[in-house]
Amino acid sequence: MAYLDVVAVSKQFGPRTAADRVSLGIERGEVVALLGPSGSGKTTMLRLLAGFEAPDGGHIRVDGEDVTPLAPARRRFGMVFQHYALFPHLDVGGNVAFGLDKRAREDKVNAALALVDLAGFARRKVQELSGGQQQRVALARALAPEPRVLLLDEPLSNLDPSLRERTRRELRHLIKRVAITTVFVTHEQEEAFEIGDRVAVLHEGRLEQIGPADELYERPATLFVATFVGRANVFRHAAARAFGGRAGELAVVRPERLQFADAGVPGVVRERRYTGAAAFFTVEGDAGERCEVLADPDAARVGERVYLQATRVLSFPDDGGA
Amino acid sequence: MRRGSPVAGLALTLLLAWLVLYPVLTVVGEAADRTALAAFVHRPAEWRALWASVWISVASVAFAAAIGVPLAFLFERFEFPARPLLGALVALPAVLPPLVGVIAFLFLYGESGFIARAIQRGFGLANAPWRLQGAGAILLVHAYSLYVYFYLLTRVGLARLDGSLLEAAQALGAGRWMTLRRVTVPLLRPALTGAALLTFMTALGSFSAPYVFGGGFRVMPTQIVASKLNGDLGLAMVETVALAAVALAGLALLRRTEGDDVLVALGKGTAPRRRTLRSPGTRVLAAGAGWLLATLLLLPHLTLVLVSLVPYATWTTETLPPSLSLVNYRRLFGEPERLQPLLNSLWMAAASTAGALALALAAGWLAVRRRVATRRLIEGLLVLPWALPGTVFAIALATTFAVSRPLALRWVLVGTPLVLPLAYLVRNLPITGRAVLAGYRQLDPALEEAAASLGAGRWRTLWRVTVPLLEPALAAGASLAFVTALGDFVTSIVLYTYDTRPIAMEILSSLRLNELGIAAAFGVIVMVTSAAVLGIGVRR
Repeated sequence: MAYLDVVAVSKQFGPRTAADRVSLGIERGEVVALLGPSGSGKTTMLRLLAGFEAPDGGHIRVDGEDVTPLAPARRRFGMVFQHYALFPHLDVGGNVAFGLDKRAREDKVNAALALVDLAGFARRKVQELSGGQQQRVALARALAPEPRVLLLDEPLSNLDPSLRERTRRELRHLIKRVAITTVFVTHEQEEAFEIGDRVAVLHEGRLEQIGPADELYERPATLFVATFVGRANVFRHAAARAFGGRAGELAVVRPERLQFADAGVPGVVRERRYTGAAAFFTVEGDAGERCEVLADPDAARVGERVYLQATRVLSFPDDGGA
Repeated sequence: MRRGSPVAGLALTLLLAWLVLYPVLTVVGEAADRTALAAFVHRPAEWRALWASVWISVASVAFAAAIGVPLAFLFERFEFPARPLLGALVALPAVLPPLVGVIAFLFLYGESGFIARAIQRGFGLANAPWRLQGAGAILLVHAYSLYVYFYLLTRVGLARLDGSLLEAAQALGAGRWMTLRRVTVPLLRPALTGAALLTFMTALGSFSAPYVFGGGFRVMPTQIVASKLNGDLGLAMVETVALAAVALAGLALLRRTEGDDVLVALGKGTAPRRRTLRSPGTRVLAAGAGWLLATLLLLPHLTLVLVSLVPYATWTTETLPPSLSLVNYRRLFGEPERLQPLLNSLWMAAASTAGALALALAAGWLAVRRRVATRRLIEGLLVLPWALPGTVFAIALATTFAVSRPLALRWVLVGTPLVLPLAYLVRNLPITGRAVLAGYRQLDPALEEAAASLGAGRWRTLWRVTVPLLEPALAAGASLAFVTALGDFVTSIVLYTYDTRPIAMEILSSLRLNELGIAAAFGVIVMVTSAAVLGIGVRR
């Protein structure tokens, strides 16, 4: 059995299904990203884990212990909130010490602050800190009581874009150094890929797929995962068959898996977006369908008639929907 | 954390309903009495009093607006010497509780007040030049004490106004008047109707001014108390219901014109800069007018202090009192009989404030955080005492808790030391409730969740996180509630007993005994205490 075991957890908010019999097992020390668009139920999942919401059905176990009926205060889960939720009436040290009992409190505060590179900040007011520093205080506060599981709610969404990339790597290193079992919520694929050992994709309360980043990208289990994770061209009907799909199936091709060739599916280049090392070409097929091709910047010109070949096609049953 | 909330929510709803709604319904039930109704309908005096209440309240709104709004514009839009100091002084009538303000006016503008004496002496008149009595006197007091609502709320509204909206209007070719009429005033509408509502409700429930200055001129609150003191309880109840009906009608009418709060939320920019008055003439004029006004507004306070220093029976016909001493204060603190009302008022105000605060905190937690099913009802019950004049509640409590019917949840509380603190508590619920609920709404729920995720239980979270963060709201609500209870007159006159007689009743009996100095000394103590409590509790 996994260290953190989520078994068929469901949660309904009025007419909205926020969690639909979600099951997933997370190993000790593993970092799992919950990835999904807004409204997919990923934040609900995190709040169910933390105990802020009670599931309508299912169980949550940690190390074999069923924590489902436990109040948040008794779960020993650390949480970093999206806006950090630092107590404005306490200083940095007071915030970090909040979850600690009296024994060796000061040492633990100092250790936790040193861990996030904020040694000597204990007497500072939280309002005086930069966004990045506040995020690290929140992290130190959550880690100081040595929780069994660390939960992070969009930990980087409040940071400047310029800071985010560096913080992403630092966060992963820190979590790995502490070796704590971690679940974090994000709607950014890059963040999920870079921080998570595995990524769980949620959609309308359902767990669509969980696996390492490359598996999600190369072998998506569902059409939703294929289109939500990375860019994807979706072909249906005749166009799908032209790329080798069978009847009643959709063909999904990533832009870098399409190339210009001497023969193949015909179309006209309508647009070219230059990104430096490569360019995205928007190609309109004869039936009016559009697709995106990633190729060398000088591979084609706008207005040119081209032929496309796919080097790798993913097939999904066509249920007529998205 | 989730279990138990519905039960607690229901318990709080029922407790509030019993405290707030039940007494009012009891009065309505008992007012449905044929003879009392007939007596009310057929007496012209009743209709005159009802009509007087309405027109006095409407006129009070007009006067208060005419004073408060221009003042707000002056202090928010123009820069001139001593503006911040004068701006604060202008809000001073707020620290005069109703009865204290009324006796200050009596000493100042009454027929034997300082002004009348000065004029009488100056012109060698045989009699006082005027009598401060009737509708005019009441309106004067109302205008003086109620313009503060318009002044403060309009200032807040102006400070929140997005300056770029005014610039946009000007860029579209609107002149200064057009901008004022088409942009500023519509944007101020929520502030103005809010102030009108407050003024109307306060004027409608006003008791001290009509009681002291009314003479033969009766408004509904004085009419009710007179009926009650005459022992005509049935009539008093019908009158109470009539006054409550007028209050609710006024509330509904003004609420409808309140308009959309979106108007305020729209502007996010900064307020326009104050215009500095440049020409030396205007500057001197503005500052001079400001000082004159501040002095005028401060006169009642000064009068009170001066009269409190006049020993008994030493001031007869002179314009100014011939001798001043601290003897009144010495007597007040030295004689147990005199000290008692002061101690009574202090403990009753403190106890009722603590109770109202605890209920408000519970309401905030259940209605805002736990979102219990009855949250709308809880909020409605919290504001109800504000929508009904104080007399209504005094009569309602006096009626409901004068009989022992435990099965109907009625016990004899009238005549016990409990009834006044309870009445103050009910009157204070809207004040603490409003403050605490607003504070709770601004409190990020994630903070409490963060405490829980760090292992803090419900009570530790409450003490270590919620209460410290709500502290400004709690302090503001508590200090306003305390000051209101400390200066209360209208509830006290209906419900007090000799053992629990509050300051207001002692002021009144001192006035009757012509011990003006003692009455004024009590007034000064209430005024200073109120100012100190508000100064500590209400910060910007």
